[in-house]
Amino acid sequence: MSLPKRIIKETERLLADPAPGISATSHEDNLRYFDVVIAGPNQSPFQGGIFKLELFLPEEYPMSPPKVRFLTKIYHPNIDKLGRICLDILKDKWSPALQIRTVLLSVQALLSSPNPDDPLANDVAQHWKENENAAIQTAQEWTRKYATA
Amino acid sequence: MAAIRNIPTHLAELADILGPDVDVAILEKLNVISDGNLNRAINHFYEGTYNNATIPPPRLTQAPALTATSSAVHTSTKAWIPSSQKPSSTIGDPEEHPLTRKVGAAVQSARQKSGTTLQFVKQESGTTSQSAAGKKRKIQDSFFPKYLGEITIIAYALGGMVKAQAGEEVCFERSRPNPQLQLGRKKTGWAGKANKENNVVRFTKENGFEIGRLQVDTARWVSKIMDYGLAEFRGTIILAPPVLKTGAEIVLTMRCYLTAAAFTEIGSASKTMGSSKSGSSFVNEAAETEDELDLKFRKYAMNAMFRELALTPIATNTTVGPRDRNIEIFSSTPEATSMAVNEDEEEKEGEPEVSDKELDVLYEKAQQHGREFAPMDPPSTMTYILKPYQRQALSWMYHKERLEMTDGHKTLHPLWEVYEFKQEEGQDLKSDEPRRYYFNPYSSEMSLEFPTSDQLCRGGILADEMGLGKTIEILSLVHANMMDKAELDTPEEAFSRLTTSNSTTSPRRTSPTTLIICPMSLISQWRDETINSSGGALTAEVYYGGARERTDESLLRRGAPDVLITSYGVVLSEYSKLVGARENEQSKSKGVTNLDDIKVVLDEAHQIKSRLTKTAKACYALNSARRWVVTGTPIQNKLEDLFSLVHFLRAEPWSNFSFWRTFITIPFESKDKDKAMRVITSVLEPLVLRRTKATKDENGDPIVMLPERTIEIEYLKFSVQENDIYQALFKDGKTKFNHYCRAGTVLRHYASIFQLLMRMRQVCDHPLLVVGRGKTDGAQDLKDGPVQLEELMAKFSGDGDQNDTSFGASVLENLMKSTDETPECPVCFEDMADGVLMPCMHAACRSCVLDYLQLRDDKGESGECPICRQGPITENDLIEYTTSEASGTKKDLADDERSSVSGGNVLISDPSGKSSRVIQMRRNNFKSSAKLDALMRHLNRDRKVDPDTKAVVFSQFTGMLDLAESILDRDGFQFLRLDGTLSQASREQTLKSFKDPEHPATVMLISLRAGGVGLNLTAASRVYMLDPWWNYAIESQAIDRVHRIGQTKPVVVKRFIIQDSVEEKILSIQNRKNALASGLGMTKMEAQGARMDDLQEIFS
Repeated sequence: MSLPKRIIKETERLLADPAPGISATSHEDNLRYFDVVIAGPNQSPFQGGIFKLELFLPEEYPMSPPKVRFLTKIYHPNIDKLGRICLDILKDKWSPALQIRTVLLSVQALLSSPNPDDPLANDVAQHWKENENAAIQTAQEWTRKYATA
Repeated sequence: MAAIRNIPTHLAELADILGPDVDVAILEKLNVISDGNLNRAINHFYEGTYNNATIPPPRLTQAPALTATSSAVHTSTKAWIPSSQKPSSTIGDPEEHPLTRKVGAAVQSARQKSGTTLQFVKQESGTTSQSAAGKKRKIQDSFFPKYLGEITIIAYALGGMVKAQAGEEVCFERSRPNPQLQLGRKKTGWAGKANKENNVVRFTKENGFEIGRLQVDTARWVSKIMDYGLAEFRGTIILAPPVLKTGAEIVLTMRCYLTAAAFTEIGSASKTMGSSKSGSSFVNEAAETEDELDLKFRKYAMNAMFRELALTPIATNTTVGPRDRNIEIFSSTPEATSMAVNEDEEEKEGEPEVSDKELDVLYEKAQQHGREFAPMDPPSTMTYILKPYQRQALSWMYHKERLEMTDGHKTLHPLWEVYEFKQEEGQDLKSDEPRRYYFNPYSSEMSLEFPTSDQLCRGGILADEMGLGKTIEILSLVHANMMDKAELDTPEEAFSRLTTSNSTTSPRRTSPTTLIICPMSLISQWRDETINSSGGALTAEVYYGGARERTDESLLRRGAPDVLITSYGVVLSEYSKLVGARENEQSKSKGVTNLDDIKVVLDEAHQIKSRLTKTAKACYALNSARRWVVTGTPIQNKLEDLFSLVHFLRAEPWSNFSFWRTFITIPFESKDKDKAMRVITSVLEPLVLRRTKATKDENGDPIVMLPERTIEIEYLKFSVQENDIYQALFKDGKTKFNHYCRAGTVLRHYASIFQLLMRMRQVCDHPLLVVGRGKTDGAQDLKDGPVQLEELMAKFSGDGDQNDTSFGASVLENLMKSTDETPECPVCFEDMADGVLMPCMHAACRSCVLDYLQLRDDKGESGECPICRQGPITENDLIEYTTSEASGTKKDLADDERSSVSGGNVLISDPSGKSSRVIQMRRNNFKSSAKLDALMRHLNRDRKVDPDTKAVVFSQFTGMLDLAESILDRDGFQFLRLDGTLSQASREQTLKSFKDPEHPATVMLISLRAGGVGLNLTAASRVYMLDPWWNYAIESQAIDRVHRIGQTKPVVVKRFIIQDSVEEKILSIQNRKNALASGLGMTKMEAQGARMDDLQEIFS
């Protein structure tokens, strides 16, 4: 199966004009598989962290959403221990007009504004709700511990 | 004119056919010598044989002659009737030919009447070839019966009282026939296989006592010879047992003497007979089977006799090569021949097709031809400049028309063999007697005169490949002839001709008219080309349709035009009038077949490839000395296609069907293919001029340089819905087919299987072709479309205050911008070739949006814009748009016309006039298909590259063309359409418009069947074949409409094929050359076998 033109174009554009704080490069042996690095946004508990993710474009892409997962451990109410992300555009709100770039920007935004009301990691969400400051502190600790080189 | 003369009613018809110039006396004479048979009379007239024919006493018509014959037989109880006693009054009367064929019948009726044993000397009922008449009359009395040879045979005795001794002379006689059998035979003719032939030949003492009978092998041919009176037999007993028990063997010497009857020409009115001038008619086809059978028996008997007597020719014509005497040309027994006759009737179905490779071989020789003629410059009246090969063709045709017969005398006719008379023991040859005789084993004719291979035909087959300019070549010949005529004129006349070209005294009245017969669609092309080629020096008239009457009168008034153009249909109808019901004299005296044409040209002559069609017969009946056949495909499938052309040309001897069949068809069908090919090559060589696009001139350069042509197959995929429909149909078809297979009734259900196949092929084009077009027909649903659309557009282009309005306006503005960059689809990132606007004014590819809407629909969600999620959206809310450059007045005109035609479009142009762009929008309520999408993709692309690019779109389904019309409309293409429903006038107009560079139409939709032949579409440089036909040759011909002489641009051809569908299988069948095409006329077994394989493959 040859690679759709769209994927090629997206890859090129991600390289040529990367979004601030985001880099995505595809594997040479599998052009649908991307290594992603997102810098923790400023004014967020993840500031200063470098988060690795993996992104995979399924066969149906762009009609189905890409699969995205955090590889770096992160303390976030919408991201679970396995790195799975709770984000609507990665599920039912996916639209084929969205792209890798927009997806990753959304993920970056998710880091800035955790949403404990729609949790994936229940314990983290609980923690966030009950004591947000403590939770943020834990997140900062995790960031220092796991997300700094 | 005919009306003025007082013509007796019984001659009126003849007068009509022969024209007003024929004297009543001649008509009367013709009528008499032909026994009132119209065809024969016409033959006599045109062969000129009526001049030397003597008019028999009026009473001596056929019936009395028969009576006379039978009474002669009746009274001749003696075994020997010297041939000199023949009633001499009839000898040399060519009008008596038919009696030759009637000999058998006459004899039989005589037998029935008299009941006596028939003596083996038949009465010669007076038949002599007109060509040999004079000579034969001189030698006849003393010459015949002429010793031919002798053979030793074994006979068996009947037993009884008779004694036989060695050295005793015996006579041979035919056995008494069974009266009942005779009755039966009379009814069914010789064809009845049930009737066992009576072959018994007895031999008797001179006093008439029967000694015994010949063995069956010998008797079989001897009986026929005797029945036809071709030879006499005398015998001498060599060895006989002292007592003749029943069945005892007697050894005899049998001596054969040819009678004059053997040297008579076989009836000339019949196509099967070996007449050298049988050109005129196949009219009595049905009535001829009996004659045909007679001829077959005769051929068999004569050949058997020659073989048994061990006669060998001293010379044959080398073109054909020595005949293998061990291989019978004819079935070895009469029984078998009668079967062969039955096969004949099927032959037109069953003849094997000629493979392409074989065709190449055939044409190879014809391609060499014409090079030997120095190119000839056309007369100055011709305004076109001929290419070298066209000048060569002119030279070739010019010389063919002036072909003299002198060369022909040197060579022996290819079908004849030369024999030397043997000397009978004890007899001296008289010095003045002929020593040689000539035998034609294929017709069983014999002659004392040297048969030459005279090429009477002045004309030939111009078979240059399509697009080489055959029309121009023919026209150059017309020009050349015109000059000829002028040369004959005195200078004064030539001068007056120049000054008073329209006066009645103009010598052009005598200038040869060329009658051009062509398919209806080409009439105008011929007329235009004639006029264009001459700058007015040639006059051309169209003899067609309502114009016929006028033309007729004008023909009489001011002399014939140089070129008279008519259609096959007209020729047929005029001819039908002649042979059909008798009408009043006035109407019959008119008509194109009456015109005294000097030259007849059949264009696209493969129209008459079937010799049995009425059109073909009508063409054969045309009276003309110079005959030309113009076709790019002289052989379409079968060798017999060619026969019809050769017959039209009257090219001897091949115009004789019997020759053709025995010499070409039968060898070709059997193992002797090489020989048939060799023969046919020698037939073609002098007759055919064929060059192809690939033909090289003497310098090795191709004779024509056509622009490059690329043919690409574009594989397409069904959309999901299309695939669902197709698969359902395919499954259904497969089930049915398998069912038929198991039941072994496939062949009986051919029609329904083809129906299934047809449906599958239609779905490949567009599901609507099969599903029914009522509910989704684009044109109908359009009605409510424009209003909403216009509202929408008004909303957006107006100065509303809503937010999205400004966005919409900016979208439109962007669209207006004349940028080279095509917007990118936000979904597939491709150039948005077929974009749609959603109500939110977001744009994307049509297919992307549809896919997305489908996806959401599958999930049970309502549609929304993939960009802004505004919804719900349905497919019908989408607005298609196309932008095009409004360059110059032409397009403006186009758009004006268009919007008035189809209200479904809204045209938006920049009010400020800054931009030259025009956006056309239309609601997406038309269901497209993979094929149509692909077509539009290409057409849009073509248009973008060069707005003047013209394209031709072929489909075999007119329904598909309807759909294509809708979608072309949608995208703002101007188009023309040509299919079988068009009248001649509108066809003409359509073709003209397409050629006109000022005409806005850039696309021509053509049904494959209507546009396959002859059309000149070189204005286009793109060809789109929407669907494959079973036989690629048809497609290729269609492509050649565009890629032919006159084409200046590279031609790009796309053939759309749906992947994994019946179309792909059709392709592979095409490639195997296993043409199911002819299979549409489904009859023959072996072809069915091949077709079965094809079907198996399709439904696998």
